Amino acid sequence: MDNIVSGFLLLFTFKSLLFLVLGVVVGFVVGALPGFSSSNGVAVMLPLTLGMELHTALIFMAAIYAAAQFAGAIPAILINAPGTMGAAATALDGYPMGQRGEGGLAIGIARMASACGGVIGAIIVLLVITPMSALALKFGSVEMFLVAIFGLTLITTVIGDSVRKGLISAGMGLLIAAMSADPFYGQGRFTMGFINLYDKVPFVPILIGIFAITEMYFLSKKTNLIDKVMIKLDNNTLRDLIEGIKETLKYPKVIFRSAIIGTVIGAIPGTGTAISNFISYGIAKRSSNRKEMFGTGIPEGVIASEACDSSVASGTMIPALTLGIPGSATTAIMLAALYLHGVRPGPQVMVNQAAEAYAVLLAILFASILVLPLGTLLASPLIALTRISTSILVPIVLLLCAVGAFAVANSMFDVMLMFIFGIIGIIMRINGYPVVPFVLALILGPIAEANFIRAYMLSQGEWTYFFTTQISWILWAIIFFGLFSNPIKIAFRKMRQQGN
Amino acid sequence: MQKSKGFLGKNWLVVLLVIVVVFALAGCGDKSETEVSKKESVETTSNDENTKNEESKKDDYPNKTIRFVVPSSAGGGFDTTTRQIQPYFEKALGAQFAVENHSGGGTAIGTKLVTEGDGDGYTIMITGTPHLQFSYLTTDVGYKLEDLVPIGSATFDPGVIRVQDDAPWKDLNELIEYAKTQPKGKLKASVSFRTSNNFLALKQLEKATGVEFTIVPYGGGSEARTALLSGEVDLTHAGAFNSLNIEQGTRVIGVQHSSNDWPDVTDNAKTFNEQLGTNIPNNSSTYGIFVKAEVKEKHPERYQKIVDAYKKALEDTAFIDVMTKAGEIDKIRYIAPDEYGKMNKDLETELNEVKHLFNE
Repeated sequence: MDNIVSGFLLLFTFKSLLFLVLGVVVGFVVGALPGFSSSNGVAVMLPLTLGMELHTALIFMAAIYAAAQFAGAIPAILINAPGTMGAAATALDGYPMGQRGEGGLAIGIARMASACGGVIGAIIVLLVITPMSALALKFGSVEMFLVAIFGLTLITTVIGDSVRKGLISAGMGLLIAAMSADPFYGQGRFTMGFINLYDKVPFVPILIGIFAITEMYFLSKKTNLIDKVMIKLDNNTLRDLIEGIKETLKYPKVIFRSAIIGTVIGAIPGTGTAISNFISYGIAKRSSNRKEMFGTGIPEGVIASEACDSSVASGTMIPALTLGIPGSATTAIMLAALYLHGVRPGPQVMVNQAAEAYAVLLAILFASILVLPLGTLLASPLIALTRISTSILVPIVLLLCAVGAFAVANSMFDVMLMFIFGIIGIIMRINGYPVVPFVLALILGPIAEANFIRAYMLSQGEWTYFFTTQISWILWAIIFFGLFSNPIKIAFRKMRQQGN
Repeated sequence: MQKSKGFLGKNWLVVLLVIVVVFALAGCGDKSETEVSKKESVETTSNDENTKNEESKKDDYPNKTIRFVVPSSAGGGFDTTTRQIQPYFEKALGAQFAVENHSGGGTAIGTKLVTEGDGDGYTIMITGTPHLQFSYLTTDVGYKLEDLVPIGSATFDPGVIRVQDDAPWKDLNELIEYAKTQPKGKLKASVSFRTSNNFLALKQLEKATGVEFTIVPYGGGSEARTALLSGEVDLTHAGAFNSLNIEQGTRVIGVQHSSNDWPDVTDNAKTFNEQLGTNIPNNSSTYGIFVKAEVKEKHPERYQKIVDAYKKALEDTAFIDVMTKAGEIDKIRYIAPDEYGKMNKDLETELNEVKHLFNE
């Protein structure tokens, strides 16, 4: 408690609050640009933070992180170009809403859900950071493998109308995911001579390509982003804000569940927002009583994704602060900032720099709250984007996407990759192949593979190794339940009907 | 038509704002600067030709921003070390650096960029050993050791074996004796990659003692150390300084160097050979600063300027103060270019001899 108070004292100085606000603004900009993410933003700012005091630097970075998590939703909703990996799940329901002319409302919902998720996540972490770090360590290779498998089973929730096409799409995603150095020997596979493909397939350019570039092709055939019939769109910022809050608060269960999922998955090193958002989305869809409406533009879909990705930011702080293990690319750079300020990351941080550590968590909490007013101020001009004629919008977005894909690794190869996958996306869409199974498989494939190989080596050929811990039992149960509960339920109902 | 014009006018500011932001961000990524330097470099080379005779007398190198290539992403080990040294190196050389992160292909993408770039002294890079050797020995990357020349080493990290604090073995000798009584592969060890000095070290230990571990590559040093902390493996082989973040909860039981010069950060553990009576070679990783070999051949005076400035930077008292405060000063070790170059060549020979160990 003392630590929380001293964290408060560090945060509530003029300078800290100034950088908190500044961080939210910077985070907003990098999050809203496709391809740029909080990790780019924080990396660019890293040299600037060297001259600051440690807590100011960390608060600044935490604010960037929290705000970027929300801002990624804006291009996802407006132009189907997720600004961050996590926002790919937001696009599923956000973009259809935007096309109906409800972009403002969808952003309002995303904003409120982000704020709630961020606050809930930060509070959970503030209260239980120490026990949570023990939990994070319990996720070994077997558990990580099972989390990835569970994520893959969620493909069933996003598979679309044709199961055959959905499975082909997922299979293709897994194959492309295998275009990386094999996790055991470190030998390149299917690199076609490009050393750029040696480590792992660069996800972000592929995501931008398959979502944004593809969308721009189809947009270019229309004159307006929003269907003509719906053109009556009055841009009332205040109303969107209030409606967004009202609409979001109708689904408290979805908010809490998504925030908890985000915090827990965020705490597991090596996962990230992409997985957690899809898991949150998949679970929300499964437990909803209007499953079939998901993907057509309903608030729950946006909430499930957005409440989750804001709490992930808090979750990733757990292993970072308590163990010195980065939970995401952004926290890795924050740990580097600790180094550069002469602090070695590790368990001792929670003892020697406890005040700074708690100030970071509080910064995430307040940055999430700040997202409501600042996010409204900054996002409302962007809604006007949807009214720009496509002949202007499309080239601008294409340019932004190219810059974003390049910025990830300063690489032209990635820009080419983006365009290639844009074309693949167009071909898939014309032929009715859903892209989401492809994306899920692409992200989860390498995690599943690497952890399976590790677990298999550790098991020394003993299959019971996959069932040794309590967490693995729980995960197996969740996977089993997720896959078979529905058919069993249907079978029982049919049997009973026949019995009658 | 009229209507749509007014429409655009209204949103013109938004469009403008977006474009400005993009360019501002691109600028932050040092791209625009690089463009400028490229243009300038073309001009300089043509100038050079005109005044070639004068050049050797009066070279105003460095007269523009120097590109500093980091072959890993921001926040990684190379990046952190670069940013620690950067201000002092810039001061000593009298030039600004534009740090560029080029990750991918192990470290090959960034390295290729330097070996295929201009050898005019306006590109400097950081990389490590044996990362550098592994990159061209295990994959077809299109460069070799001779394509680079060292400016000097930055850090030196000796290999150690760590176990959990409450592990039953007091030292490496006890661990080996225990392993001998167990079935093969019973003890599990984590390493960062199969192509790492850590994997090689455990293979050498196996060969010298006759025991066999289950050696699991974790795809990164951080992940490999976490595996020890969580108890998924029994031991890990890692750099002494690299593994300091798991100092709490784990301890060092052996140092793989001819003498333990780092007792403070290694729990005063004895060396491998002291404990086991074996003759296992030294194992370490270093970070070092390199330039394209052409710089030394074509512009020896520029090369010398960089070498001198780098040495001066590492001797800067302000730099030493900062590193002492971070508890990392022992990690910094300057090895002069000639000796460092020879070390790198020897390492290449050694790795070539044990290449078969990586394919077993």
